[in-house]
Amino acid sequence: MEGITDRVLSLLEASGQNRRTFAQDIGLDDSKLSKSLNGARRFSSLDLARIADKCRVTVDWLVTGEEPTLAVAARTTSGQARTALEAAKQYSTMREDLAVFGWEQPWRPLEAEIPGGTYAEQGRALAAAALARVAEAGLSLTDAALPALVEQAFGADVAVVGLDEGFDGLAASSDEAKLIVLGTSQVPARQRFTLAHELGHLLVGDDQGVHLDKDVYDKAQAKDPSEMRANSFASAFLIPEDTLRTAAGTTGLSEDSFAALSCDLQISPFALAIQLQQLRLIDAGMCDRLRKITAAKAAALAGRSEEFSRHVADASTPRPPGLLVRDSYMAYESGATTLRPYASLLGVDVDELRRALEAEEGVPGVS
Amino acid sequence: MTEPLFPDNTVLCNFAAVNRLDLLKSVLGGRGRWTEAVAYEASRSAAKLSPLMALPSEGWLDDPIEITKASDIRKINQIRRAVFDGTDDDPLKHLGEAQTCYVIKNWASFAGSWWISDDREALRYAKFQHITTRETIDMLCIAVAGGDISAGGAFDLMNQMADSDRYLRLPQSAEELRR
Repeated sequence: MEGITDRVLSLLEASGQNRRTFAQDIGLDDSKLSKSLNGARRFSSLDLARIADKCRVTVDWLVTGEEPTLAVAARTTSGQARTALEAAKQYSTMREDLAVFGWEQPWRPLEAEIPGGTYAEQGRALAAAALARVAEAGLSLTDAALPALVEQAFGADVAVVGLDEGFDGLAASSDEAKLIVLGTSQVPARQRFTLAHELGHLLVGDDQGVHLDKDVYDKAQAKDPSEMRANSFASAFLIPEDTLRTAAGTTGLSEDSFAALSCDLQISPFALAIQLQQLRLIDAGMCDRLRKITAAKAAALAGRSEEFSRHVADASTPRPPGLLVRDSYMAYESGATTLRPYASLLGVDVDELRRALEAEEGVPGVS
Repeated sequence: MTEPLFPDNTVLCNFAAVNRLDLLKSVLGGRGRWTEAVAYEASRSAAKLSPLMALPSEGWLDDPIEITKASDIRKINQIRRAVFDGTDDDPLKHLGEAQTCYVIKNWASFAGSWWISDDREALRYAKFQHITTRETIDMLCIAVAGGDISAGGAFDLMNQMADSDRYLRLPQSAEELRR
């Protein structure tokens, strides 16, 4: 308990209070606190919870002296990033706790080593391996919603949290939890790019802890090698070269077929035009013309505005992490937990949820 | 029966709401126990339900059980979060439930104890953990069987609890309490 005592002493000092006032705040009398600090009495579970509550630290930190990176980041960050970090902290803690109860995250990293070459080449090679994994899983980037696809093919949790503009996403990684948190967005292609970018970070293992991306399109950030590799991964993953070459065929792309391709891949016309030009499938003049088309205009040209409106709505809607939702329900069903964590993930009242789950299926008009 | 009986704070509050903690005391028959976090929760509830204030000094729930081993403290915190949906930001929330479950399941001295609660989630979880559970309605049945109160009196008492905004399973009739 020596470590605990030291940490409580440091909190007492930081509080600026005398022992008596500090003791009163945590429900101990002066002599009990003194005995605990002198090693004659052990701090109890309740003492530590009350100290943690008063001093805004965690019980785990008081016991071990260790604080998860996400908790530190959430505590020391402000603005939109803090909201995302708080969500990441909640989800990661839930995942780590569930792992102890037998529901480990089904994380499936790529088996291939990171290849040599430039960072951009590394990103493209990783994307090829990731696309092979997607095909292996019988999935298609053009059919499935990307968050569900990433969860199914790679076993990382993907959450979308309600944020105002100004924060794209983050990747959080620990031994037990791999998590991507995205901000809600009215620009589906941007959210999709962010997701692929964060997946790139996770697959490479760029950060043990947390990797924040306030703005994935930030030019200064893009000069960082790991960002360069994640960007290259995201581009190659979302805009596969084979697909572009097939689409261009021998006759090239018209404005209409370009628009349809942009809708198929759910990427911005701007990014698509640049990629096509880099592969020399269109010339600079055509690139200049096509990159000015907006995503909404491309959808209209392709006759797919209805589909586009659904993508905007989806990207604007918060989403709890799918694998965590699944596993927390399974843990409830098996009796390993109460229904409360599952209800909390769904953001619903536990009593209402239980009533709904226990209600008999009704038939309209039959009582 | 010799097993310890652990009423949670919901049960203590039910009896306090109708000022009949004496009836609970009689049913528990000297076997009532509580953990330090349940005692703390009861002390907080005493702000609204004053009969709870006397519980520590009366001593019929014995001294609150303190958990001081670091590994126990960590496991309880994990159960509090993973099972009951507590968070690190609110370290006292669900601590009483987590402590009670933990000592019943893991401390030999409390093996076979009953957990008395009116929380549906806690009851379901405890059953899966093979912990014997009882509710306030069961306490009243025992009181009726022991002649501490008539079935009609117990029926009225439970309805008074519900009228005092307490959430508990209610009998359909007084007869139901004679079992």
